[in-house]
Amino acid sequence: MATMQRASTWRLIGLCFRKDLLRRRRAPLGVIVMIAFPLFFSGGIAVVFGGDGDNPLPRVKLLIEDQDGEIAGQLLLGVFQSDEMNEFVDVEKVVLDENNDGAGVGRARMEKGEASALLIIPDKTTERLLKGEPVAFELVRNPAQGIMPEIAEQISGTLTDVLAIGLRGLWAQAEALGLEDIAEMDSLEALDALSDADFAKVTIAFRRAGRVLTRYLNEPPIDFARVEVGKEEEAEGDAGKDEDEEEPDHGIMVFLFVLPGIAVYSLFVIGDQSMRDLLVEAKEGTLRRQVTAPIGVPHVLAGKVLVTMMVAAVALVILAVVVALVLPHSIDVMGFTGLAFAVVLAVTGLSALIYGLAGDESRGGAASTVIYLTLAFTSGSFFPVPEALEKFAPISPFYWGTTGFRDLLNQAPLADVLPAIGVMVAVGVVGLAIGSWRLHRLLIGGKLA
Amino acid sequence: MIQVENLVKSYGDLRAVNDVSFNVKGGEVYGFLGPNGAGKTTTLSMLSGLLAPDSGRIQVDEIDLAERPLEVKARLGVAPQENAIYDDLSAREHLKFWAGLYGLSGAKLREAVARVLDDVGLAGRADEPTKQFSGGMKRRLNLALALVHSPKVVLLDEPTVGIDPQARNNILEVVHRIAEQGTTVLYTTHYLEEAERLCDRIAIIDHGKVLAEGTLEELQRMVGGEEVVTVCAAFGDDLRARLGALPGVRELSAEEGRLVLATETQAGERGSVALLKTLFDEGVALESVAIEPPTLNGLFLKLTGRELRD
Repeated sequence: MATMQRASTWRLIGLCFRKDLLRRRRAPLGVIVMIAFPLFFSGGIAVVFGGDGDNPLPRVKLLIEDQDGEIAGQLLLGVFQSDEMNEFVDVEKVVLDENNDGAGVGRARMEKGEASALLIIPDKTTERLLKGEPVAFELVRNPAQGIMPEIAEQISGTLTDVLAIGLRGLWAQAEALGLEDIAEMDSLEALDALSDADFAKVTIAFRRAGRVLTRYLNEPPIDFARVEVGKEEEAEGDAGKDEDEEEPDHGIMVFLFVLPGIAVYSLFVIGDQSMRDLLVEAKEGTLRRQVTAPIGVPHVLAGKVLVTMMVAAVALVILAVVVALVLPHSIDVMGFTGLAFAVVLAVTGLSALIYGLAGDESRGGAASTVIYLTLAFTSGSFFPVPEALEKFAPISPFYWGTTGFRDLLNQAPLADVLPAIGVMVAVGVVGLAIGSWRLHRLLIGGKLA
Repeated sequence: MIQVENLVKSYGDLRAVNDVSFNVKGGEVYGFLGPNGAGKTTTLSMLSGLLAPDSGRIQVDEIDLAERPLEVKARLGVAPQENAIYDDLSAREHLKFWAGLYGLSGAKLREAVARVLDDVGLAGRADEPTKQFSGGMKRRLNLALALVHSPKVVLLDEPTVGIDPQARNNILEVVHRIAEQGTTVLYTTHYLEEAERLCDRIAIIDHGKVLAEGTLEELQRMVGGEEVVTVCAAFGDDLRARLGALPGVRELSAEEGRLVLATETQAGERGSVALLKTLFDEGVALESVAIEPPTLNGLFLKLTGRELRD
């Protein structure tokens, strides 16, 4: 006869989780698509913008602040302004005052978001290069412009290497040609002392030597200090990096840049599928039937949250494996795990809130599609945010998820992504609380489909 | 076992359930008979804790539903009108899940699942996804889910709608069997025959109100209406005229050798008895006589002015 036993809360949640997981396993296509989507999409973007094909790169706006004012700066500026480079880069020289003072001019323009990056050629660059001393250039990046600063950095790095090789080679050849007096001079006036014939000899020899040198040069004499706007105090040159570290190629960099945003978007869509499933259950009567048993909507919801977590965890593990294969350095595992958990919580919380407020599967589905796409576009998950929307980007949980994962890929420690984790957890907890309460009210009020 | 007092539920201006009260004794099969939209499902939804009533009180096994809903739910098994099942799970997976929700586990769970699969005749198809099931099989699974945990009280909402006669018979047999085993059943239907065949007591409901309640005989007495007598015999026009002239008797149809008459009870005497007496007195050679008692449809007609099937 009657058993009249009651299962514990955890057992009820476990049963719902198992049942939903079983259903997902029987109809896996939706999940597989959403797991594969970030990889395919990011891979596609990388192929289009990161490959060496004929596809045009997006234009980069580069400011150059030439505090040196001598031959090195002029050469670099000349190369940047060549026709070939103009296909990719809009270069503008920052106007300084008579004393070459005004180091803040370029930064001020960057603060206003007027360019993708600012390349600062420091004072006495030419002189130090001629003496064979290392020089640290500074590249101030504008993170809001997404991939553009990466492109600017790559181009600047290549050209400064060539410049350094050139100047070193020039001096080496002068010495080889018996122009020791010039080679021993440590001032720029030495260049003026060269006759036209000597200059021609030096430059021809330099060209030959340059080609050879390029092959053997391992340590570029010009170093970069990479800085993001608003984080100047954290500036650190490449000299501080691990010597064994390799820079990934451009396509991979594009892939790694695009991947976090797309992955966050996909995770939200995975969460959306689970929450939509709750409303589908309401529509088909299975939810109502379940809650005739001694179980509440929160148990059913918790089961779906766990399924979302499981699917999202699988997606994140796959993404992590792919990233580990292409990334030359490790990332903070604690930070990754913490942020992944927080993102999944936010995913389910936001979905519960949307569907709870919509109260209907079709309305909720339409609303969530619009909301997620809007949040993704306005937060830089897909493409760089338009300037006018930059200050609104942090309102979107997508922004925190995307920047958090990007920071982790750039070797940020757990502490750096704690704000992102905090925001995502808050979104998740608040969304789940309101959404779950609202869904329960709709159900017992007979208004849930 | 079930006490319902002054239950009210409105949707806007529409009062779906209007001051409904009834009691169901332990082990009884109680029928809720009424047309579509009468308020049967709304009442059942409130009984199963799915809908909060605007006012009124529900007790199951002397436990107040509003105060201890989970304890009440643990005593109930509910089969909703729609087949609330998952297409991609098998019957066994469904039953294991539902039995688990009611606290069954291990060997008890396996035994309960096997038993109920046998009861509803799905043991041979237990591991197929239900999307391969016919409508009747889905209905049987729908019923099985309400029974797997052997509840004290089973609430069945039109469990035979839209299925073939064979599946319907199977479901009615199962309900009859669990009632014999002592389970209390609240059975909503708009099929007269089911209510008459299964239910110990019946409440007739329409527009959210209980119009009449009692055993089948009690309700039939309330009808005070016509019995239908079908006489198969060789009779001539004279006999037809005399029978039609009897008090409370009127002819419904006449064919070669077959006469159908409606009879009323007048002054405490059944018209059908007077009719039979006349036939015997006349010495008519009868082939057969069939008397159909007053129907619930007749009662419904009397109470509401319209047919139950309308």
